[in-house]
This record gives sequence, structure tokens and C-alpha cells, in this order.
Amino acid sequence: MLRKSVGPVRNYSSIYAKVVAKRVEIKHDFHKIIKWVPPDYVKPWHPIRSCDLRPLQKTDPNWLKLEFRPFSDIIDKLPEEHRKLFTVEYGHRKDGVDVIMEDTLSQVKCHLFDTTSLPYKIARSTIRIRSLQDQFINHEMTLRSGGHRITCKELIEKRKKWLRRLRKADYKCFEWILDVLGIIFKPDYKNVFVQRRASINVLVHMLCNEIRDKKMKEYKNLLEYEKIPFLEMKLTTLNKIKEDESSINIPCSVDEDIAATKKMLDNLKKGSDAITIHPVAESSRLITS
Amino acid sequence: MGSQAVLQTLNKATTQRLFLASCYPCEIPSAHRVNVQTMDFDGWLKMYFTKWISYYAHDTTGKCKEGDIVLVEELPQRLTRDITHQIKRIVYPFGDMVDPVTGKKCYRTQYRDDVKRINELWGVNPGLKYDYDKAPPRGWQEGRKDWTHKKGYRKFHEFTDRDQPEASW
Repeated sequence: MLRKSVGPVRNYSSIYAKVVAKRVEIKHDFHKIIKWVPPDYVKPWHPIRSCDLRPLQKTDPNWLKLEFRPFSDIIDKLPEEHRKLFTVEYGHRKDGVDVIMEDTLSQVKCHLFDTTSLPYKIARSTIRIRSLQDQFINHEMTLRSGGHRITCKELIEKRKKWLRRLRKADYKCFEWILDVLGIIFKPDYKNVFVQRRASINVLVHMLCNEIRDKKMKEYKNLLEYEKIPFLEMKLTTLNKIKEDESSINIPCSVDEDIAATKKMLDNLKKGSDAITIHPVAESSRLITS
Repeated sequence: MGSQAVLQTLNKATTQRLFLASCYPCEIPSAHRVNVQTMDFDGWLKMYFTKWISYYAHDTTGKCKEGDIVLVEELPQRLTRDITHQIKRIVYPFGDMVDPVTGKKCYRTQYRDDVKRINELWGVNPGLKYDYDKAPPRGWQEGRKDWTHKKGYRKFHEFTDRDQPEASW
């Protein structure tokens, strides 16, 4: 009863709907200039994402298996048909990978019985990662195994952690190991979702910064170009002063000024590039924040 | 003028001149972003909290790298819109620790000499090509395989006119 006396209850949702319907669409021109191209999805085990520059080394069928290496002197004397039985060719895939692993680890070990140092761990994980990547690329059946994919991803993350620690402990060794193993080390980043609107905002900021820098450079060049006639006039007047002083037998007082103006003129005529102070500073801040 | 206000003005006048800071990468050429740890007093709780303030410092030598602990000086005038400070010297270079008490070089929690001796006792690896004393100075992989001098970000756009080696997926 009370409600009737006050009046009918308004349905606000219908009012809002009318307002939204009346909203005018705004068309921007920057869509013609900037076109956002989202990056393709890269699988977590992929070499591009793991930053491996080289694939796994190819195995030579003539390599001896790792367990027969100490007896190479005896095996090499055997006839070729018998020798083949001790080689990688007549073994599993793992035998070949083990040989590669041993060769690379021998370059990195701190001492003969080293199994715990950071370079050792990094080298070992690198070979394992590359072996798994090789299987994923050449034999797609292995991709069905979730365990393999997960171990590869976890190894990549662990290797990054060990590299980060080595960088802190010994920067020289860190750089050496990057070179030896062929890995790229990228800085850490804030994990954010890649969105259309946020990406376009960043691109617009980048474009604005570039346009501003270009205009500033042009304006600076123009101002410097205007200096040339003034400096030429200055040089002629200074030369006149010098002549006058020499005519009255007074020591010349404008030699330094003449030399400086000449130097400035030469520099300006050669042409100098304007310095860009903020190339993409603003945009990068926006991405990470 | 209360005692706290006096302290604040004194802090502004004195402690802002020279201070220790850690370096971070920034896009401005010949400059670094430095983070300074300060103690911020909470008047209500009557206790101090750590507060990080970041500045842009001009690097004249060009030897400073990301992660270094440096001595930073406040400039009397702004150099550019952002740069307000100057790096005076590198106190502790990153990745090459020195024990401040003995002055000996360290590797993680041990002295380098001790590590070398332990390795010799275990047996020297003839295949090892790395030697700390003969290795080239830090920074020879910068821009090739080491991209830590740049600020990392997630790849958000496929550029046609530039590479993004520092971007991750």
C-alpha cells in the first residue's frame, strides 16, 4: 500500500539501455596507421622460447659407446664388422646422447669428480632439453606424452634459475657458458596477459614518441643551420678587428675567438645528428607497469 | 617548527647528496635507473618502513652495468627531464663479489683461492677451458647472448621494422 502511494517503481535497467543505445560511435584514424599484429603462440618446449641457439649435435655412427671407450685401443684393432657391434650405430638413441653429454660435460666440469657445480648442472640440463626438443620435432609421437613435455618445461625453468644464480656469483663464467652452450639469456619480465587494447595503447605511445623525436631533431637541425650566416658575419668582423689592431701595432686579442668560430663553422657545415633523449622510454614503462 | 620537520629538512639537505644505490636498466642512453633504499617513518605507528625511491642517474664512464651497487651524487641542476643524479663510482660490481673485511675475491660463500685449491685436490680437469684470471672482462656478451642490460617485457606485437631480442613469450 505504501509503495502505491509513493509511485511506481522505476526500472533503471531500461533507462540505462536507452542511454547506451543513443551513444555515438567514435571513429579514430590511428587504426589506419597502426595495425596490431598479435604474436603467435609458441609452445613452452620450443627452442625459440627456451632460447637455445643450436639443436642437439648429430651422432656419428662410428662413435664407440660410452662404456667401451676405455677399451678403444683393443676394439680399434678388431675387424670392422666386429667393431660395429660396440659403436653407437648398433645401440639405442640414448647411447649417442650419452656420448654427447659426456663430451660437453668434460668441457665444463670444475674438477674430475664434479657433479654439483652450477656450470655442470646448466650443461647437463641443456643437453637433456635439446634431446627432448629433438624428439618432439622429429618424432611427433613423443609429444603425446605429457610427462616428457612437462620435464622439458621444468628443465628450461630450472636452467634459467641456475643461470641467474651463476650470473650473480661469477659473471665471467656466466658469459663463457652462454658462449660455449649457445644459449640466450633474456631479462625477467612481469607476466601480463597480452591484450588488444593495452597493446594498441603502447603502440600509440611509441608512435607519438617517435614523431616527437623526429620533429625535435628537424627543429634542432634548422636552428643550427641558422647559426651559419651569423658565425660567418662574426668571423668577418673579428678579422677586421685583427687587421685594425695590426695596423696600430697592438698585439692581437681575438686569435682565440677566430679559431673557436672557425671550428664551430666547420662542425656545422659537416652536419651533426641531434641526440634522441627518450626513444622508447615511456612505452617500455607502460608495458611493464 | 617541530623536531620532525627539522629532521625532514635536514634529511633533504644532507642525505640526498650522496648515497648507495643499485642499478637497473633503462631505455635512456648513457643513463641508469638507480633504486635507493630509505627509511620512511610512520607517525601513527611510530616505526620505520623501507621505501624504495628510483632516480635516473647519468653515467659518464659507461662502465656501470645492471645490478651494480654504486655511489650516486645529486646534480645541482637537472641534466634532462628525467636525469637528476650522477654515478660517481662503482662500489661493488655485480657478479664479482669481494669480501669487504679481507678484500679477497669470493665465489658464492667461499673464497676463490679456497675453491681453486679444493678443485686441485679433487683433480684438475684437463678439458676445462675457463680460467677466471684469463677470462675477458665482463660485458663481452652484451647484445649478443646476454640481454640483461635491457628491460624485459612480454612480446605483445610482431614488429616489421625492428627486432625484439629482449622480449620473452
